[in-house]
Amino acid sequence: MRAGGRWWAVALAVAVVAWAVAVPRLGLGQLALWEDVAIQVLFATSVNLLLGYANIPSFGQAAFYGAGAYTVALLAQSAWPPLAALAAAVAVAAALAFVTGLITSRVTGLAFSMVTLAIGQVLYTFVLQSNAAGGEGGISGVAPPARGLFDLTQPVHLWWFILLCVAVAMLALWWVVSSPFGRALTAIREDPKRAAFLGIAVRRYRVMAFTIAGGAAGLAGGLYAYSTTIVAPAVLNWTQSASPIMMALVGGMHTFLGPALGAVLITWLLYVLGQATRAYLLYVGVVLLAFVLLVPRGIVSIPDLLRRLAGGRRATGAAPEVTP
Amino acid sequence: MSLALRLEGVTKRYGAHVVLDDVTLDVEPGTLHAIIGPNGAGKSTLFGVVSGEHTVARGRVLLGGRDVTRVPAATRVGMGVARAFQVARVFPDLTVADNVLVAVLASHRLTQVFWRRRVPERTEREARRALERMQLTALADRPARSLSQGDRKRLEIGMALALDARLLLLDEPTAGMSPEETAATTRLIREVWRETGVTVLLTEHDMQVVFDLAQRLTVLHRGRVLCTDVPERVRERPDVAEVYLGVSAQHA
Ligand SMILES: Nc1ncnc2c1ncn2[C@@H]1O[C@H](COP(=O)(O)OP(=O)(O)OP(=O)(O)O)[C@@H](O)[C@H]1O
Ligand SMILES: [Mg+2]
Repeated sequence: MRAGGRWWAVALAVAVVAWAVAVPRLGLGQLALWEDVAIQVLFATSVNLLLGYANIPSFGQAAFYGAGAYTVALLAQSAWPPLAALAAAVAVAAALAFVTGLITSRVTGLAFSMVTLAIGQVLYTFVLQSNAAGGEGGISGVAPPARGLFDLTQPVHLWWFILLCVAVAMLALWWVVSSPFGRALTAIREDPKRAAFLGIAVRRYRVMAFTIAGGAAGLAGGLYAYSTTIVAPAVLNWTQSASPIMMALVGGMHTFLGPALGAVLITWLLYVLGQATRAYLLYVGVVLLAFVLLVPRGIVSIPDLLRRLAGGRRATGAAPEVTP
Repeated sequence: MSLALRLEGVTKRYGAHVVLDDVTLDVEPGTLHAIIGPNGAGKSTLFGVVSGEHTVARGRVLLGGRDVTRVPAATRVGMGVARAFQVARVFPDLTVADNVLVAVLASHRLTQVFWRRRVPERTEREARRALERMQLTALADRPARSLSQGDRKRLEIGMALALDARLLLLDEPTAGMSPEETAATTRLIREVWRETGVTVLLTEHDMQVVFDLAQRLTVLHRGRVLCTDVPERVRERPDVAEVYLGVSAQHA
């Protein structure tokens, strides 16, 4: 980690905790918004494990997010305790991702994206037709049983519970990307052929990454079910796969926290603009476009960009900086 | 720590173009064996066949007596085959240190470890030593993409060495290097070969390097083996001179 990186981490943690304490005082609407933010942070980060670290362009992550959401919704009907239901959501989503990863492991590039998209849509169509999953209407009234260590039917308790789950999952993902496996993934991203000639069985690593990302997406989906209390087929739709990709793009792939920042910005923006105008998607689109054109490396690159702009102005006429 | 290599009647085609034509070749374990031949002779293709990059139309590839014709590349690495490419392939956005570290981790089969964050101290040490050996310590924190052609070649050779290979395939290891770098790399290859007893198969256009290093020479011409012999005798063969002179006359 860079010098000062530790201080940034501490400052960030303090800010998050302060915000977490403040949010419940802002009313139920804000609580729902920021729960969604936290969940999308996890979802976007899980997608970025594939996109940014392994260069696996999956357009079907909503399948695993949705699988997690439906697992929790169905198990909540039989009064499963939340931790057990969420563990099941992770397991179901990871298993599904493992199978999908195996099936798609021989395909690369655009064809791969299309296959993952198709698999997601198959699941979407299946749930739409399924009576057990509530068909078009989905499952509503998802709630944890009103007992246990702390009563999650209380909005504030649920808020803290969701934050805790997201925090633990984020730490786990951070652990994965900075492990030897994480390094191997970035190596595969850079040059899969070179990696193979170092003895790295590229396909197996892709399947592993796919499984881990799928499990994390499943957890995000499960938390989403508790947060919104309603799970409809739309959670499985491809638009749901596109949004974490956009968050990662806006925030900055190839970094761990970039997609999280992107998730915060976009989820918040969608909410604020959604309140202000019916054409909110148009404005979000404009913001997206602006980012892709002006800050292609995402929010995380802004400090660097500003520094270079400021430095450039001061150093006009001087020899150009020779950073490799 | 050495592996024998045998090619039996290997034929490789791209469409109608026969790139390797019934190639039979024996590389004794522990020798320093060079393959020479004009541009397009099929040297790199032969390396690709040995390392598992290419499939063959006909023939067999044997490593240490075992038929590996259909064994995938990553598995052959596990058997001890390490390779450096003609145009060095490194991980461009990783630092020089991380490039080497990934190779060392791979050689210890630690790259699947996702449940532990720290890289074992022993592995770190080994990676540092590999950097020193290749004289890359000063460049350790630079992204590999920023390296010169020669440095990149050295980095890749270092990564191949880090794999503890039993058969080392070096495709024009000194291409793009300055005379000093070439001399240093030649020395290093001989040193590693002496220390570890690894089998080395290399191609090179720089005849100085070839005659400095090789114990045996195979001349390849248009996908065919012209001869395999000790360097002194290969040098005296009229057909070898003709192949080279003929080609350079065409180029002139
Ligand atoms: N993928 C390919 N498709 C078609 N032809 C190919 C392919 N790869 C190589 N060739 C052809 O095979 C022949 C041998 O190529 P190869 O790279 O093995 O030669 P080489 O001996 O390594 O030459 P050099 O000394 O220039 O590196 C060349 O004629 C080349 O054009
Ligand atoms: Mg070649």
